[in-house]
Amino acid sequence: MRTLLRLAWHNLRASPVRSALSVLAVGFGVATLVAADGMSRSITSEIARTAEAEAITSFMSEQLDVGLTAVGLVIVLGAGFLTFNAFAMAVAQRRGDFGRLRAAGMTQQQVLGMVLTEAALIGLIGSALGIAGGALLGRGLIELVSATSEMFNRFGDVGASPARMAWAAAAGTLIALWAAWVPARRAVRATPLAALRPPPPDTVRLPPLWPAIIGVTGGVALWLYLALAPPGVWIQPPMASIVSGIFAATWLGCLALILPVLIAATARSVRGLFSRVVGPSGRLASDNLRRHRSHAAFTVVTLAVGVGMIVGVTGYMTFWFEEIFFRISDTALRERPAVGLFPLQADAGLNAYVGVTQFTLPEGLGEEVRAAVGDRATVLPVHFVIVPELAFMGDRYFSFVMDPAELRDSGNMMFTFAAGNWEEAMAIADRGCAMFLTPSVARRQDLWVEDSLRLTTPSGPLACTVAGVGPTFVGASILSDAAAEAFRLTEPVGLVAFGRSPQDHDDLLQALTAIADGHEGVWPMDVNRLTAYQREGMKSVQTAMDGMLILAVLSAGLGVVNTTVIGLTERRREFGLMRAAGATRRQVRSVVVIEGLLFGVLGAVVGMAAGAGVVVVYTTVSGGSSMGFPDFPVWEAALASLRPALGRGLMALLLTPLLTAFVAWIPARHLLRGPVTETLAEGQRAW
Amino acid sequence: MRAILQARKLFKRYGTGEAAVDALRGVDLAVAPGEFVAIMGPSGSGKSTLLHLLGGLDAASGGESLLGEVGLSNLPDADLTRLRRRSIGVVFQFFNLLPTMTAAENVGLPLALDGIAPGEVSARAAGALAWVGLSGRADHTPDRLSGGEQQRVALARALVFEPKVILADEPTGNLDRAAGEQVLGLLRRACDERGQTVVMVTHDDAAAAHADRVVFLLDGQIADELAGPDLSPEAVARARSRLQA
Repeated sequence: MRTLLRLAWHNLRASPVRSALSVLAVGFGVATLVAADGMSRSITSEIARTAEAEAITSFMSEQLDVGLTAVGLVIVLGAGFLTFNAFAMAVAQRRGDFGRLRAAGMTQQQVLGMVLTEAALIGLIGSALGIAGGALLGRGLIELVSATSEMFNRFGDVGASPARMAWAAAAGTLIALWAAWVPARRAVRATPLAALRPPPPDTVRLPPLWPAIIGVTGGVALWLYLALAPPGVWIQPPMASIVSGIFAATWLGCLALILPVLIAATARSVRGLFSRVVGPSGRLASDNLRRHRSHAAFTVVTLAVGVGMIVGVTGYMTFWFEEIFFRISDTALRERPAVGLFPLQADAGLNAYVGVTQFTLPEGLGEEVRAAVGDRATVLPVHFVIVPELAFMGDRYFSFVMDPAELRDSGNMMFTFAAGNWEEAMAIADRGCAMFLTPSVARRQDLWVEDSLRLTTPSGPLACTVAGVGPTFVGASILSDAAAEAFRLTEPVGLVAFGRSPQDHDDLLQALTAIADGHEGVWPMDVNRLTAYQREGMKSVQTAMDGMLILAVLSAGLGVVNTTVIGLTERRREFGLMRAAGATRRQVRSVVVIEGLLFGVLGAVVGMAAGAGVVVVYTTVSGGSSMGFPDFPVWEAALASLRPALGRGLMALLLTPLLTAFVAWIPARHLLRGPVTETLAEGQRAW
Repeated sequence: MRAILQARKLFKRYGTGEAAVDALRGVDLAVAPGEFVAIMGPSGSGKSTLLHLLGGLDAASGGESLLGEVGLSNLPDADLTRLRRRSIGVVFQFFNLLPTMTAAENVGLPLALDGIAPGEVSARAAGALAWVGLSGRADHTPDRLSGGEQQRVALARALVFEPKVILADEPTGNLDRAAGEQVLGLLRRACDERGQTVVMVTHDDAAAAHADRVVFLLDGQIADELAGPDLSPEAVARARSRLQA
């Protein structure tokens, strides 16, 4: 074991740049996972001092954690691709070394053990760096979000949990081991003699066409089906999520099948153009892309993952916030303007929650408001609770507790029926605890109208009956006020006055502002402004995600450096030959830089196709089913969600090739520094 | 006659400190235009190093290489590259061709690198391929050519710019006798018919006998020279044995 460890360490030191790049890639992934946890814990640590505050803020931190963790896992996966590529190429390069070790008496298992020890060392060192860097990254992201968000402007000073650090490190190490396992297994299977033979000449070979034909056929069939009969118009949860997942995986699978031919076709189609514009350097760059197709494919995939996530996350969040959450509220608020009173200044962002220990309105304020607004408005007292069974996402998404009659009289903003009606709902509410749920929550609990469920409350189980299914405000489930006692609710967290007509808005705002002025710790808030803040919050979450996703693209950039370094080593003599034939350093460097550029373009295009495709698949398959919107305009919503996503994708398409060309230039410059004979020399490894 | 290629007190040291090796120790050599010179010597005697320094492929540690009147050591890299591209053709023993290019494209590479129009590149590459007898192989990639054909393509590439000097580093070392003879015959013709200067490193007495003059290197210095009409493989072998004794 000690010998293996010593050999593995020696090998890592012999290729310092390659080892460092793999370590950094793993480190980026682990750091992201750690930072995600640290950031979400920071939101709740100082703010959620009351049950109500926790109900409101914990869903935000939980969703942020889920989103950022997903990004982190994708970066770890990207690190896996990079490490796989690094090991695949390193193993191919060290074929002769393996042959010599096997000839000297090493068993297959010992050689495999040596390579896996190298991978484990990379994983462990990367994880250690990632844990240390995760704290810094978390702080950096918090600073970024604080600087750009009016809503997320207060964070606690806590780091990631030890449990998160442990599993992030485990994920980093395991992915490195997995990445090394496949190429190492293949390499050690060769006999010592076969391993010592020089590899076959490297020529341009056409990839097999049949996978691409299957991919194109599958893709066309999928899009035709979605165009002609989008499931979003009829599907119900939880099938919506399952079918979305299957279709999205199908789309990504189709792209994966097409990728080798796409790389070869792109390289072939730009060959003539590059030859004319850049000369032999452009021609050779496009040829090399076809020659090293598997290396190219992995590098392109690593880049595509980052870009695809940027596009996908943007589209997904736009769909949820613009097309789902606020679909009804904007129209409803135009018809019936709403003004509320709250025990905090909601437009102060998270700062408003600091030091709040009494998170309810003063006793008797409801009567005062009702008296002030008279017939001009319906006053709806609002309580927030956490009911895991009714959480719209995860298990800490908040639910409302409201008087069903006042809910009915407040208009469409808080709830509209997709199943049931007010007459039956009121009858159910008269019998006890009633629930108004989105189809997403109802289907998850296998419930429909008039079905009952025992809920978890601070006072023990509480049986509630579904009184209606349909879209609710931001997806939160609504319980009737019969549940108030079980949740030990006293005064409400908010009092919202819904005007009878648009003209009532100014009067209501004036009346409620006057009341708030008379009470310490009470603030008025236009609900339109509140929804604007929620949208702002969504953008802040996206800013944090973008910060992480830039790391994903940078991590993919490391993959390009890695591929370039190893490609340069493999083609060292070729470059020397070019120099001997009269190519200047710049001309040889151009070959490498153009290759990097092509990686970037292909990665960005494939990433855009993957991300945009997944967004459209998700939106057309799930439609408005989670909320139960009637006549949901599936394709209109899909395209509206896609627009901002493609905007970011285009930015990635512009910036990624620049990044990849730059990172390819660095090792190329290093390799070509010496005289021609140095470039021609055999047995030397670049970096 | 003024020399086309000169080495003046050429000195080359590899490595530093205790690991330093002096590959060349003050070599003086002058090669006349149109002359075919073979460089011989045991492994490690500095043959290839001398060839590389004469072609500006490596930088000397001391002394000077000249192409005509131009000293190579002080030229900026871009100028040196341009000079090498236009005035010096190089042929190596191995890995002479770029694997993704056809024979014609490999031959036309120096012209294309010089920015010459594609039409002219094609025409001149075809001419060079015809000269080495490979017109029918123009569209073949290296993996579809025999070793001898690959080396003739490499020679065509070295000749395509009609350079004053051709440097060949063991051009027949990896070929069978017949293919080697073809390559050596072409090098001889380059001198005789085109007036080009050839400097060739070789271990092979028969190959060296194609030259006008054979220069023997030993421990980084010129130890002997052989020239004249009676240059034969046997004479070269005798001189080499005498040197090694």
